[in-house]
Amino acid sequence: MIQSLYRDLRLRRNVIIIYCLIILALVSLYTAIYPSIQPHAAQLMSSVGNIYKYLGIEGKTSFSNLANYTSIETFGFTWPILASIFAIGLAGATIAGEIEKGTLGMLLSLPIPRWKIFLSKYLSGLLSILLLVIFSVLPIILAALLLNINFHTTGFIYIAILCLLFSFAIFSLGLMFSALMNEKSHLYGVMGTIVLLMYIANTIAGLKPSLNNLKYISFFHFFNSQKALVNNHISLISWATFTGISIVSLLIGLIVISKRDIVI
Amino acid sequence: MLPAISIKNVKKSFGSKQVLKNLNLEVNKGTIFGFLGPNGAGKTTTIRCLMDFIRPDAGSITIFGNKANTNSSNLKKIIGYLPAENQLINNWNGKEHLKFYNSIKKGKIKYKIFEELEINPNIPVKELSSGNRQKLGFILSLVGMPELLILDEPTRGLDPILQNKVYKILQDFVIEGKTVFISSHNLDEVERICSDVGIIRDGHIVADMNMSSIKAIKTHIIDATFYNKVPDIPKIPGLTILAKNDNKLSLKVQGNINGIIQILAKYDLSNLEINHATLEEIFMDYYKIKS
Repeated sequence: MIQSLYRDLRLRRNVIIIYCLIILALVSLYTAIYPSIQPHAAQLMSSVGNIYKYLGIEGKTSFSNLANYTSIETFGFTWPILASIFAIGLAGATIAGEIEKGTLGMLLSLPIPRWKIFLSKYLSGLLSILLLVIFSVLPIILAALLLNINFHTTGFIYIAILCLLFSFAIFSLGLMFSALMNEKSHLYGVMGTIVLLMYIANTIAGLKPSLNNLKYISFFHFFNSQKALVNNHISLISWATFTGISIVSLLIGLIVISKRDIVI
Repeated sequence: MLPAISIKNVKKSFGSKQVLKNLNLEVNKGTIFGFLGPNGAGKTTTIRCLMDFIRPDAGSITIFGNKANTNSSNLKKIIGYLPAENQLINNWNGKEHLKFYNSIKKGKIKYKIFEELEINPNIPVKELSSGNRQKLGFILSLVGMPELLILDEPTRGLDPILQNKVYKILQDFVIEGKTVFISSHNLDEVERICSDVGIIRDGHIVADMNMSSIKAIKTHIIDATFYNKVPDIPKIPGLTILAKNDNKLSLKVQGNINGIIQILAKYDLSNLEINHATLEEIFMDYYKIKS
């Protein structure tokens, strides 16, 4: 299984590196401009504060400190979308993409049980996501140190955990669908629709009190970056939702890949 | 003796299309088995079932006495597989592929084989010609010193010299008591190297025999040229007129040829050629007669 895991990481090495560098550049940029934004935080919030509500960002919006600013600017909107794209891309390439290209046949013709193939792909995805999260959080801390911005490390540990939980859930769900499909474009279609619907549900729930319960069908609701970064807290329901979805998707994926016909 | 491969009453459908209809086949150990059939007959589906990529709807497949779908990963330790379609990784070169296979299968093979089959192991697959990809696939199928080789069109895209090298490797392989299962369109190849042949048509086996039995069918093709107009030839059992024009006659005779020779001897002939039918002609016969 180690060989198969290593093969997977090697195959996707370039994509992972490029994506991590993009994320690194983005979060570094956001952090670097913070010192120039901070003096005008109150003024800025009074003019654009409502926009964040429309984007589905809950809680008190403020740029008064780095944790608040990062939780809104970096992790409130941009990061979950980028991480979702990354996780779905990985999930599509690892099984459906390999069936499409025929390269999964190489693994299937070797003495590796199907469940081990699936598990190695799952682990390679988790490791890639871990790398993405490190590249997302560490540069903020480094930039803050370089620019002498006050911050608390604990909040960044919490946001890193939340980011991992969120991305693992998206990736697991994607890999489960990937195990069912023969073409990655189908997987991208299905997962893209699911993530878009979840995002819309969360936004609508924030705008219309009568539709408030819609937020519970959205991963974005459970990805509360402000609570993690500012209050050093991840709610139990977020833990349960993300871990539950990940485990159930993993188990379904394992069953599907073991039972299905793979026409290669 | 336990057969290397035993396929019993296997059925497989994709949607409403039944591809394998009660397929029965046995491949003996220590033989090179040629699996023949036109496109769409079910050859690749059979191979996919053998490799446990797909599972039969009914029936059973055993390899060396083990069920193919329950002991699949154990069986693959002793199976070498060459697919019809390229399953290689475009960005990897030959060495990287071999290293990966060697790390998973016991009984490693050395880089020297690249020299023997005239392939540069440092060129990425995406830059290799189809023939060189085929060679690389063949090399990889030999990793782990398998007991059974399942090869789908093994010499496709190879020049005659390299084809001969592949045949030699396969013949040496069988001398060691191992088994080869070849799906092929190349009837000359099958006739040359296979000891047993199975012909599949429309999802079931229409002929399963050894090469010596095929040759014993003694089908002959007779081309006679007469000085005069071709006479009327009386009907005799096993005789088919293939072509007839002014003074030329082409006949196919199944079984003893004495009868027709005695008939032809009554006339003035300017030329007479008698040839054994090739496997291709026998193969085509199966398709004409059975359909």
